[in-house]
Amino acid sequence: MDDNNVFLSVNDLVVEYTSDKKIIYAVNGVSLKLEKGKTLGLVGETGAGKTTIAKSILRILPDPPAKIKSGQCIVGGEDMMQKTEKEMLDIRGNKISMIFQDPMTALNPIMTVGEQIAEVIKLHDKSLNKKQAFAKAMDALEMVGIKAERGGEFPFQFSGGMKQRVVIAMALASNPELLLADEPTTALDVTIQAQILSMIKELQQRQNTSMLLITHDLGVVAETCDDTAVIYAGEIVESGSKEDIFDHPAHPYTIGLFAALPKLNEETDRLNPIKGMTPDPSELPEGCKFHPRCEFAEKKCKCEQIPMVEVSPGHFCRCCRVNELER
Amino acid sequence: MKKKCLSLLLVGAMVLSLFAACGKKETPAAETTTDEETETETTEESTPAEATGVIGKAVSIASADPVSLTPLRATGNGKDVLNSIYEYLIDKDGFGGEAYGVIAKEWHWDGDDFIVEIYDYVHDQAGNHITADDVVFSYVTPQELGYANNKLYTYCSGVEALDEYTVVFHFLPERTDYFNGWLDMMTAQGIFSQAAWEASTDEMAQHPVGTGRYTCTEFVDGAYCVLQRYDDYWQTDETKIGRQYQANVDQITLKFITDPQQIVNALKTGEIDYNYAIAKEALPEFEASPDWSVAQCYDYKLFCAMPNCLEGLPFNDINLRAAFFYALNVDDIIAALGGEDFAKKVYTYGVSQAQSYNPAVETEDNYYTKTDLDLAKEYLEKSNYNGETIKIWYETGSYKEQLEAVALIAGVAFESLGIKYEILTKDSDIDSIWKQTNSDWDLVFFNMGGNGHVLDYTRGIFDTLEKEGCAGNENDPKLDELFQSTYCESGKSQENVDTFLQYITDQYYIYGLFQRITYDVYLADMISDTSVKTFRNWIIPGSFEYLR
Amino acid sequence: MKAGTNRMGKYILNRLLWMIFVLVGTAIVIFTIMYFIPKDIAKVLLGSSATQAELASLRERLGLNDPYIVQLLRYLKNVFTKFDLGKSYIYNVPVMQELLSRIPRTFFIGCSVILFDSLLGIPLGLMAGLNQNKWQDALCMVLALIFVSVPNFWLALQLVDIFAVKLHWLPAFGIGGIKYYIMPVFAAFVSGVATNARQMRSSLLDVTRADYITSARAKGVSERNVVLKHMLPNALIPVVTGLGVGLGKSIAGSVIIETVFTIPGVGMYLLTGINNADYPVVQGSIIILSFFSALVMLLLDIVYAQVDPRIKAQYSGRMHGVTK
Repeated sequence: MDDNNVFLSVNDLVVEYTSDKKIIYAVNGVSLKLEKGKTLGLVGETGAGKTTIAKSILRILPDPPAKIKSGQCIVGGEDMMQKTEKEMLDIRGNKISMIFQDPMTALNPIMTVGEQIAEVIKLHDKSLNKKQAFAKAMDALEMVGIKAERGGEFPFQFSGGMKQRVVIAMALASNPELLLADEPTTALDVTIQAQILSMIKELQQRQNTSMLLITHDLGVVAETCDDTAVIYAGEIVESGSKEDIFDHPAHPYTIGLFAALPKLNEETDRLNPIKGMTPDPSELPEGCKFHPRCEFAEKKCKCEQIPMVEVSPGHFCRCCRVNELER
Repeated sequence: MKKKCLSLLLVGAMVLSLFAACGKKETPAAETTTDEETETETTEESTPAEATGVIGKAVSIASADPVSLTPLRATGNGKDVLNSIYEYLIDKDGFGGEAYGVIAKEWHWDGDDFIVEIYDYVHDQAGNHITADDVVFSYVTPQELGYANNKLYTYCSGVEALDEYTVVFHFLPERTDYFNGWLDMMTAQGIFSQAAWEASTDEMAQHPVGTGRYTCTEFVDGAYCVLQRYDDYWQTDETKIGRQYQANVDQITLKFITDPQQIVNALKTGEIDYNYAIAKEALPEFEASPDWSVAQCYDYKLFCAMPNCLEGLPFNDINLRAAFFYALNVDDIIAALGGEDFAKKVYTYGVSQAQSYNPAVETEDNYYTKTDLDLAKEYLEKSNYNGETIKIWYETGSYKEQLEAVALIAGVAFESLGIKYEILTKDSDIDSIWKQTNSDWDLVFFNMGGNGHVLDYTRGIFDTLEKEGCAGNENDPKLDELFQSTYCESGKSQENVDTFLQYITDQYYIYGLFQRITYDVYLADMISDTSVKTFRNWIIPGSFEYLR
Repeated sequence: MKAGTNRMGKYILNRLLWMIFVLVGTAIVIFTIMYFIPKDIAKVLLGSSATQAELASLRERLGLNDPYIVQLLRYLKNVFTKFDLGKSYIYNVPVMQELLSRIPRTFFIGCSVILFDSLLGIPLGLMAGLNQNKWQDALCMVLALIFVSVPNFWLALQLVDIFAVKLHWLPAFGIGGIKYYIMPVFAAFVSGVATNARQMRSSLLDVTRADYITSARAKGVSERNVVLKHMLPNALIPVVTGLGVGLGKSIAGSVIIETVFTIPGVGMYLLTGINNADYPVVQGSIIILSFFSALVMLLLDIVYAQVDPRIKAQYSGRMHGVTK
């Protein structure tokens, strides 16, 4: 990773949710780096805190339950945490955009798709009038492969894949510099998935957008990402380039993830899941958060807060035994 | 926890508020000056008065909505108003009063024909001269249109004009001697002219043309109507105008109010000046206030208890009937209804204000004058009572309060005699239970209306000509004989009436309990007397005595 | 856009035609029900002392001796071809004429009630929903609870007691100018406010959690516009449905209000008709009430179509591309 080219830098982000007197430790000191024009894949299970990180960058977390306790999110040299709400309104949809997971519910059902895209265009370019904004929205639709005359239709008139394209058009309409894609293909079937991913990739390259791609699917990461970070229980447990992670996984969790994938060239009767369950975010284990499930756990894993260890240049792992163990 | 406390508090507040609504203690009207009340009500009335150019006396009254002022019908609410607009051939001077001619000058029987001669100078409010043909038209037209209320063909085979001012009613032979038959006929139909009827586009529903003292000048559907005095009244001879046909006020405004509480409010806000049968709860406030006068009136409906004497039923045994009658304490019933201010005891099957009432019954030694539990028990011993359950019925209609009080005290009487009973109620039903010839009931409580004669109350119960059901007393030939010989024109002498009533008292066929006492309320400085009413006890605003 | 309005017109026409079927059906049903009530109308009208001859002549006049199907067809013909709802049995006045004078009053009250219910209920619900679990929410819900618990006749009489009897500000009953309607409308709309507020709050809470709201925020839409343009229109849809239900309730409640305030409206007319066993009145009132209910439902559906453009789109016929 070229530090001079870093566009997004998340430093020690801590986010808590308070619900009914219980505190949920969603994000516990996450640090990420993303270079300009590159794609960082953020991999983890459901509930690991991925979406929370993305929403924190945009500061659209629902405030009564969620609270950003500390940390910085530096985007293009500016810390989002220091911005006023008014400034954030300008940034959202403009400099930073987000694509959501479920296309079926991500669009306002009673506004036409054209209007919804035009809305984001008009918000960030006050010089345009309604007609012009709508025309630009039509262009955005064309960009994602939807016929412009469908701009006056409602979301219910589109299939899932098409809706996701609309969402992407909406996100990319204002040429954002950072795109946060939260599991954009999870709700779609495999063939559409491939289409969407390639489309995103193409648009990203065309506009030189940096992208944080959140997913739980290692295959997607392999397809589209340059760098990868693995997140577990609100912490980054391993990060590095795609090759680092895929060819030389270091953290027991990452290893477990790859081991759990079914292999096409082997005959298997059973899958190999990682034993145990993700911890309850309101009652996280002491020390290493993975230690209850780790086959290599030792006493010291329970005690301290484990720091990141650089396994090889650019490849970090949060395991205290990483250097000791034979892989 | 906090939410629970809050919701409990609110529930408590709701429950309390429910109690606040019932039994509101009315604080005596603060010294609202008479001026203020006069002010409000004169401004109400002056608008319509000014519109017609008549200034002078005016009164506002709460009334049921008559909907239509046609002379054709006699059913439905708000009939009172028709009395001020139309006149009969013959009328009676109030309940129990003597008959006197209104449009009829004189009348006599000629065999089966009843001949009536009318005044030759009668005209209606449109100026049409009334002749015998108009009288015939008035009687026949309703029948032709299907309204049988004037009972023309029940009593007569026909009616026709003999000459310009003489009408003959051809009575059916069996009805010529019928008790008050001719009088019922004469007081059944308001007279109107054929010309006015044919000129009317709405069957005189809102623009009635009668011969009476008042005409309707304004009718707002469902809201109010205004009656204006007709100054060109045909009867110019003052001595011949009956008490019911006075026109002491220039203008009568009838406001249709449906809610009893609102009537009280209307009195208090000055919207109306008079109301009859004021709600009991509101009475003390008006009595206490010097601005209002309260007048006591008798309601002529008679509340009674009647046993079913059909063979095979418990009350077929006279001793059991006697036992119940002596055990029932009518004074207790009256106390339950609020005391002697609200109900008046009767001493025979009839009210004291009726014609042919014999005051001697009040000093007789029988169950009317005393409640004797020991005597009752003696009768019970003598009877064949075998522990059957007595089925008691009453209707829960407009008189629910009174009948419930009767049922309550009757229950007490039965219990003190050790008789089992069961109380059953029915919603107001047209097929009154006591008309049924069957063994579904043993004892029934109901009220009976009358038209001014003490025998009126027996109609429909002992009357084999008219009634459909029975009380089982047609088993008694002597009763039927007495009834037939008394309940007719030729037989209604005081002596016969006394004998008949004595017989039913002695045989315990029916127990007359009480009549209600109601109260009229009116502005003290405006009206001084409201006692003149029709023989059916309907109000006549024109006949009130006014101070201003 | 012209195609759109044309389709809308077709939609309305379609609904109006359906309404005719509904009305004919209602007329048949109500006539049949009244027909099979085991009450001898002649006896009710003439009283128990009537003779057989009198009863027979009345039955003849009223046409009660004809078989059911003849009476039904005659009635339907009268109602739908001549708009003649018959004459009241008791008063012999044409029912249609009576109803025409009464309808404006009932519907003035009914429409005012719906208006106030929405104008007060929706903001109340909005405030509660946006501030869930804070003091505004609790306050609004407590107010709603009070409003829905107070029985309207009790409230009516209390109002009369205060404003008419004690203060002499408003008339206690009757009809006339606007001031006669102030207390009746107030007593009538109070409980509806609560229903609307609660519905609004609940549908707003549903909408608040929706993904598209997060999308909207992620686009940089200001919070105010998120509420106004994204939350409110979606949340209003169930509330508009609720208004339709509220109409039905207010028609039923109108009987009480009209009786207390002696407003000669359709509700009181119907009640009196029922008490008097005056069949033409009852049948006629119910048909008229159905007619106006259906009309108001149609209006609400049009409002619905405006609020939820998806419905309007269905009728503009542009339905291509659901798959792919």
